Amino acid sequence: MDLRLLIFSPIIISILFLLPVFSGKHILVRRIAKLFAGLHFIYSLFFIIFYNLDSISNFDTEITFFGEKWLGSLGVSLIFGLDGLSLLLVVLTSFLVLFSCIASKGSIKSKHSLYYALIFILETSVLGTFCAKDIFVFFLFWELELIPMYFLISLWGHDFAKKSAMKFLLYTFIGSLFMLCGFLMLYNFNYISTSELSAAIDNLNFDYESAPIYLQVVASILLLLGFAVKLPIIPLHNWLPAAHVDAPTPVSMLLAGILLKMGAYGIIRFNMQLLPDAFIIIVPYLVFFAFVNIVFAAFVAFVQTDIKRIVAYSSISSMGLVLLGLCSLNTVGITGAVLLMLAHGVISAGLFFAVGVIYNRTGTRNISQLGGLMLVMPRLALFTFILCLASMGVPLLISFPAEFMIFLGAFISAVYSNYYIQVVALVSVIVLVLSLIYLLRLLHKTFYGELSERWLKVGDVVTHEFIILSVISSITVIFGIVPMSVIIYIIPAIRNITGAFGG
Amino acid sequence: MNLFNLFTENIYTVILIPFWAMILIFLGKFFSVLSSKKVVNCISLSAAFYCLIFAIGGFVRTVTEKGFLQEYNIPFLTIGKFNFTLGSYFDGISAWMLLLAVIISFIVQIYSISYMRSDVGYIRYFTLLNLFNFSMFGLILSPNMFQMYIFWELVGVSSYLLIGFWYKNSEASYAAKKAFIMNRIGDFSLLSGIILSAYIILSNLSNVASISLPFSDMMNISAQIYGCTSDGIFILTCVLLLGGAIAKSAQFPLNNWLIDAMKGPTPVSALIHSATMVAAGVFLLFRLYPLFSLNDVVLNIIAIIGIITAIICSYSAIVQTDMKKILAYSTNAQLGLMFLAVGCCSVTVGLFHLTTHAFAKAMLFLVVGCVIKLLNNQDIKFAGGLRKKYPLLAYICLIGVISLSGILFAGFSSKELILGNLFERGHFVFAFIFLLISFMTAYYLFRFYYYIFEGNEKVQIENSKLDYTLLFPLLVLAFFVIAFWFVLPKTSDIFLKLINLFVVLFAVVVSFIVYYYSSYFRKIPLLYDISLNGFYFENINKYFVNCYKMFSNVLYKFEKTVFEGFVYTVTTFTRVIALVFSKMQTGNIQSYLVYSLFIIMLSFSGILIVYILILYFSEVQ
Repeated sequence: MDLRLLIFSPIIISILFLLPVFSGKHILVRRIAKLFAGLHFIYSLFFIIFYNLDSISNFDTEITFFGEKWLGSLGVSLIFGLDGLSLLLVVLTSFLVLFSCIASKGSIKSKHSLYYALIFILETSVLGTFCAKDIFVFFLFWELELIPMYFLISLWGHDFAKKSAMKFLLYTFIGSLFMLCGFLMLYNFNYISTSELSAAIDNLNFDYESAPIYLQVVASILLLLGFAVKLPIIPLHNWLPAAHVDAPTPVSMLLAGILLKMGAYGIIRFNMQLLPDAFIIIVPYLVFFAFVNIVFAAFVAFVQTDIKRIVAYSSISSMGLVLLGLCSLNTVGITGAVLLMLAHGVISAGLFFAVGVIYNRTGTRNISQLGGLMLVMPRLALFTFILCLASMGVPLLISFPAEFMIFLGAFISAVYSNYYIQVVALVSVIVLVLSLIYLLRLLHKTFYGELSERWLKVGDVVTHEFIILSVISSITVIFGIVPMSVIIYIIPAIRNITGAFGG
Repeated sequence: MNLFNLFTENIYTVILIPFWAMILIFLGKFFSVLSSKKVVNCISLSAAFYCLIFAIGGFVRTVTEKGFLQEYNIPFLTIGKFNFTLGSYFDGISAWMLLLAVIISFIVQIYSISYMRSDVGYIRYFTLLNLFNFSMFGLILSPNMFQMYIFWELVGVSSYLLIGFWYKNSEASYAAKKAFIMNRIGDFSLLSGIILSAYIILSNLSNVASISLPFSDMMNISAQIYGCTSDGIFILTCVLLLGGAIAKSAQFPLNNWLIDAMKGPTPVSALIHSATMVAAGVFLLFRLYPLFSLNDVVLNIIAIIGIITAIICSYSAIVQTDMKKILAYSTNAQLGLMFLAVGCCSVTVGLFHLTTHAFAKAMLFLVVGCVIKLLNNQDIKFAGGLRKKYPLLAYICLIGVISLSGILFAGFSSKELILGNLFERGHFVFAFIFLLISFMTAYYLFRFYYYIFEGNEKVQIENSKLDYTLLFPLLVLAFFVIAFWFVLPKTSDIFLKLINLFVVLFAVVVSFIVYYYSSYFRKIPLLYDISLNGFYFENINKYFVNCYKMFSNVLYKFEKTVFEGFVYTVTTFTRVIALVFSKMQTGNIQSYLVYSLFIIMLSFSGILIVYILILYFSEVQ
């Protein structure tokens, strides 16, 4: 099992797509893209099969150039590896890229080869981010992801796509600048304490002498600013609704499904794993932000008139829950948060796709113009129901165990005094009701009621849409019934991290 | 005995079989292979029959062996030391509840076959019914609060889907939404309660095994929780747990959804919204009784909530004209009495009342279903004189009405038990209110009966045949209603019996007089309006919804002005600066010379000022 192949094969394919041979042959391009994405997904499944649960780090590989490290003089090397957390996110990425390739059939109508090339560049950069074991390699891939995403939104999006893409780019980029400062501080800490230039995550170590706690806190906050934009944490969330709404359906799926997870992944990997002491200090403030995320986004989602915006705000609310789970600083809560990341990745991709199908058929996303679609689109209605139920955390669907573990973890968290997080968690459980309210509004305004005559000839899902929705729905059901099959991969990786917090 | 072993050891299959039936029907419809109605009936009924056999077998075992217990657990979530299991827990209470739910579910399914025959969503209906069975049986057989919560929510979901079964009807859609939201408020409360008690157990007792509150060890755990918490926290925990029961059983602050839930198909009302699901709240009280009974405040809260609900709903039922609404208010009131029974008396009394009420009420709902089929209308003002044409239906209805009012049959015994217990334990105020409620119950039930079955026919009945599949379930239920009379224990207090009987018979007479000489009676303005509108709960709900909308709008405005506004300000500022600087690039050398001269002067003077300041400050120091 070669990680290099997994990470870099998409970008090679994308270069292939840019050859003039493929210009104009859009069916061929799409078929090759789907075939490749499928193979890539199957290949990523092999990593699950061969994953060794007893070891924290699997499939470590280092790319050298003629025996020399890449930027060896700076201590930076192209080193990759998987732990349980990255493994699952890698598989999720591969899965969602495959599905967004399938989903592109109806919604992408021009510049096909460029589109698929960008999708695969995006895949490489996301996979690189999740697998990188070196802070500068991580940063490199993190930034690389911006380029394809910017073009994907601006070139194929609708409405104010150019503006939204620019917003997305600027927000993330400014966040990344802070993040870069944080990384440089980490790099510097390591240099001061060991007098060796190294940027590998596993080799980084520093003591309180070389890195006083206040400097660690500063570094932690700088890193967090970068991740908070991606997650997003609420004052920095403004790019998200715009970008999600104006992006084409498959790109929205990728945005919600994968890109938001990069923020949470970064927090776990850097803030928690590398700077645990500093994280404990800033985490009480984060709990407050998590609470704001959960509740504020849920309320705002309720008054949206654009169905895609409702789903976008529901993503923000879910990410608030993820943040709350991370703030619990114990295995239960963080495992729940990771599980919710995966669950949300699947569910929100499905919901964006379902909403995209409605938009595709009716040409409107305005909730007041829709209604009664259950009559003409019973299958779509069924899948949307399952996905909405999954999204609101109904038991025996995938996000229930995750939410349960987050609340439990937050409750039994021993880090705080004064029952602070307990009270926040107790109040945050209200999200069960809030998420129900906005999702029911979405369901009832689109599917219930009398059908308007305009939509009488609207067709139900066709084969490729059916495949996507049914697979995603069955995943939510199957892993909701046997969540342990996922959790066993998460726990060792999280234990490794929570060891520093004593939980 | 071996045979019964088979039943009890595999009792968990009762949960799984409806689930598989659901999947089978659902997939069959989806791939259009099994979409014939006969196949669906076959699958659904055989699943229900299987459950029936197992429930009966298991029940016999629990009756013959005192204190019989069978627990079965499989791990569901294991994170380190925390272990949450699913499985089945079969003891006396769950055996009784399971038998009740299975019988009614089986009967309702038979009834549904002909009732829903011409409906487009026939297959969807049976899929959802099996989903409901799955979740209800899972709830009843829960071995711990964790599983209870899982099925608690699933029951809510299936009830929501069934209320909104006729999705084109906007009223049904609204009712479904309302029911789901109110139930979800209860779920929220229940989940908080579960997690809070888990936290208490963990932080004070380090008793990891009982983190999910297993029922097999409930006495012990309750005592431990009580021992290590202050009164405030203990009551908070209990009230949060109780919140789930309040929402599910439609008790006082959240009582409004059950009335609207009647927009669903009538068999669904019979099964879910009168007999089984709404009784789940009371079932939760049974399960957590060891915990609740430790603090009198909690028990009083339960009793008071129950009695308030009972009064409100009985009073609201008096002037309703919609048949299903009358029955719904009645159900709601009886649920309140069950809460009262649990709060003031004991679990057994509550359980008896639950049982007698479930059978009688399910029967009445099915009768109403037949009447609606005949009349195509559910207003009692349009019904009348049905007894002459359908005597069997009328007598069955009468049995139900008599039993529920507590004149004869099963209802008589259970009501008398509650009253006897109330007197015995000295709750005289409650006993008095109970008699008042009995009076109202008998009044509106007999009014219901008179209007539908007595008097003259008011509309011509077109489809005049009643299928035997519609009548057979009614007969079975009537049999149970009468049979329970002989099974249930009776108090020997003749005095109470007489009081009760006197009050109820008086109500029957009053009801008859009001019905027969209705032209002589006037509507009392305020009292009538309050009753008709069910204490204006609907308006209060609407008010809350409006507040919620307003609050959301305010937050959205905030989002727009502050967050969007920030972005807007930054971009505009950048644009203005850029504009100014680009205007300055005029292209002629003179202006550039002026700029540079200006800048040089500025910087020199700046340096000078700084220098002077430094000198000045150093002088000062």
